[in-house]
Amino acid sequence: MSDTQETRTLFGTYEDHPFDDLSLDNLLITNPSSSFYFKASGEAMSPYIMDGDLLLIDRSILVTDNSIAIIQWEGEFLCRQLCKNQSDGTWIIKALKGKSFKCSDSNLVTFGKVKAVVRQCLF
Amino acid sequence: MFILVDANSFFCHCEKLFRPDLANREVVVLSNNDGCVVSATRKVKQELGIKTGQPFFEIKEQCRKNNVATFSSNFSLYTKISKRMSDILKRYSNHVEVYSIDESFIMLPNYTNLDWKEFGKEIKDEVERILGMPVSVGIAKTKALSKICNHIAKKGSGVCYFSSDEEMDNLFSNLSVKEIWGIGKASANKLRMYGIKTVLDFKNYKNQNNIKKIITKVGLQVHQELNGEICFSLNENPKARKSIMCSRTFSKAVYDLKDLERKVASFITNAALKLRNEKGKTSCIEIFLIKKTYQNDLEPTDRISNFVSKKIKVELATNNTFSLIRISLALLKEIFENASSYKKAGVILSNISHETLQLSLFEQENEKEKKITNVVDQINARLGRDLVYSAACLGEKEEFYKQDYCSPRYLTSWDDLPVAG
Repeated sequence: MSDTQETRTLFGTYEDHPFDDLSLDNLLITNPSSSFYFKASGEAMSPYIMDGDLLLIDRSILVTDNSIAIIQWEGEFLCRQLCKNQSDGTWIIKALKGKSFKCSDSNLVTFGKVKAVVRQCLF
Repeated sequence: MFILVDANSFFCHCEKLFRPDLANREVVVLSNNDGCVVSATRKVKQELGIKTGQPFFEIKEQCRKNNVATFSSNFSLYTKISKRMSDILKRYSNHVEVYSIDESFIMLPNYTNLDWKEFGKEIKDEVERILGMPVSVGIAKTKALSKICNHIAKKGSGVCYFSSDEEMDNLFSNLSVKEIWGIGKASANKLRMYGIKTVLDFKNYKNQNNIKKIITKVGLQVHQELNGEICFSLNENPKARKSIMCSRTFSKAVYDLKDLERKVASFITNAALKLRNEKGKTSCIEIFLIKKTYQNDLEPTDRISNFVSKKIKVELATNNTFSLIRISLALLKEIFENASSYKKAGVILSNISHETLQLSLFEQENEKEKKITNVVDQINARLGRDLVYSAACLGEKEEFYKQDYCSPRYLTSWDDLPVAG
């Protein structure tokens, strides 16, 4: 059945209720010019973030204590949780599996906060 | 008030955004076919003396020795970042003119109690924070003044605004007249004969008739703009193009008609796609060829004889790739000479109209080809450019450009996303 036929049989109710379909883009990408996609690699943040997950990064959101963010470290991008050490003001770059490390505020270069994680269900 | 936001080494910083390993390295970006330098970071220009436009083969070894990262141009990345940059600027004003891929004018009312320098810094910081793109900001009452302010900003703190005319004149007295918008080397030499050496000399020159005589009416408008009178308004909706050209210089000379046909068909395919994207139709198709010569210094008359072209006006305007290929290949056959070798070819589509045209009494558009073109466009838009194309371009699309150093399509392909460990 074509759209026009459907509309006719529903007495034109389609025109009276012109709502958009639900969209993940509209829900998650509130700021398109500052949103970027990354691919996660490795298990450092599992089970929150698994190898191969798609990460949505929004650079307009401020990275604060306990944020999961992409950082630039020794020429690579890392996805880690950033925890502020209240006693000396340094950051603890926390991996859920594997080694965490300390970093001073001036040495920390963040790319952006992870806003959403997309995982395709393969089973 | 006009605010000119201009990115510093735009292409290079687009490449650096997704490469944390390049944070402290210098970068150059090459033109199509990896021919010459189109963008270089500041140190490359200042310390290594590499200039924009310099052929790559001249600097290849120098780049390797100095650990300079080299990239082929990745325009899908640059245009996406450029769009994001203009979107960020549109948050500050509804009136934004995207002047080129890396610079935009913003227009705002002349608020007297706004700290313009601080405002410029806010824009600069925001673009840098969101896109990792360093920009320079020039703020002034006219476009020409903001252009000079931007030039000064690039050499200093990144933001330039003069709160008083004295402060501005002081700096203008040390700036060569060449730095003025639209005044090149030749015009600067002419002006020098009239004793105009600095921007301030030009600004204070009283004889407007003389200026018009030396550097035409546009030069006079620039002069008026430097004195605070707006002559160039903001152009928010650029006019539709009058013609579309697609041409390439070949990496090796071409002798064979079949080879040339594939190349011309490929140029027409690109130009026709641009035409359809602008919802235009053309009724004038021109193709040109440039012969290869083995002399360095040619007389102007020789240069003209090396250029051959032919154009045709068709009665029924079209944007259909297949009919445009047919027309252009017929034109090519007419101008191709068997014993010649060619170094460049191109196509120009002109007489572009955007309205519904009156139908021809004797000719009708081929509906079947129109439908095929539509389907091909839809497939290519969804699954990747140049996935489906006319067999006339067979073997050509794959080797269209030499791009040995191209970066991944970080923003336009799911397969090329940056990876975080």
